[in-house]
Amino acid sequence: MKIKPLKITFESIDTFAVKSRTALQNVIQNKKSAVQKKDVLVWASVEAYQQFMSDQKYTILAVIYKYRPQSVYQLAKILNRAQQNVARDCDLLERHGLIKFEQSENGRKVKAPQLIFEYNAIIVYLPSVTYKVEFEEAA
Amino acid sequence: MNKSLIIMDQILDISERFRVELKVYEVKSSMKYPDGIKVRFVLIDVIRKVPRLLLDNHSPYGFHIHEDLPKNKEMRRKLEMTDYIEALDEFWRLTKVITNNEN
Repeated sequence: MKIKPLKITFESIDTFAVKSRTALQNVIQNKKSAVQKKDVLVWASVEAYQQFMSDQKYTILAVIYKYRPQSVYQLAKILNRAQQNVARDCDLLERHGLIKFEQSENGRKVKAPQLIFEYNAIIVYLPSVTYKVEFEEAA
Repeated sequence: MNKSLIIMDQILDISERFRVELKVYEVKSSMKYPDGIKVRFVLIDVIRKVPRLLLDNHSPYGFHIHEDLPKNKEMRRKLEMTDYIEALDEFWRLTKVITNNEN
């Protein structure tokens, strides 16, 4: 099966600021669109990303991909973790652009955690090395 | 309803707590947005689920910054510049101050 990955890249605040400046110039002067791709997330530092992206969060993403839980409750059951802790992790994953919440397929009011798009791996582009986390292996 | 078209959308995750979103929209030229450009540069406190710093450009203020968020939504500081790039530079300057002190 073809890997459709989410890509994580790194740029310092200063580098990103310079690039955003150029992008804004192009947008204002040349009407050239500068919309970041949905399959790329940019972090300001490797340390910050690694601090955020615990093994538990990777596992959450893998379980969402593989089992498609219809609620955080179901997700927590699969993970055998406290729902409150899973909910907090999901909240952070959502706010950092890795997952979204959609109306569950069974039509209930609860919202189902879903990947932000149908990715089945994360590729992390560190400055010196690139590594890939595939969900089939992580779940 | 006035249509707006997003022409710039750039996101930087600074830390677990902070995320920057830079959005620029092409909008119908109006009293509110005479240039037909709406900017929204925001530093979000992801943990507290609130904007921590917001720069926008609607009239009657022009470029202005909300820097006492989330406590004081009505507090605005008008920026003297009229240039989009200078406004973005100021946003980044303040973002670095906040994230260095509060991260």
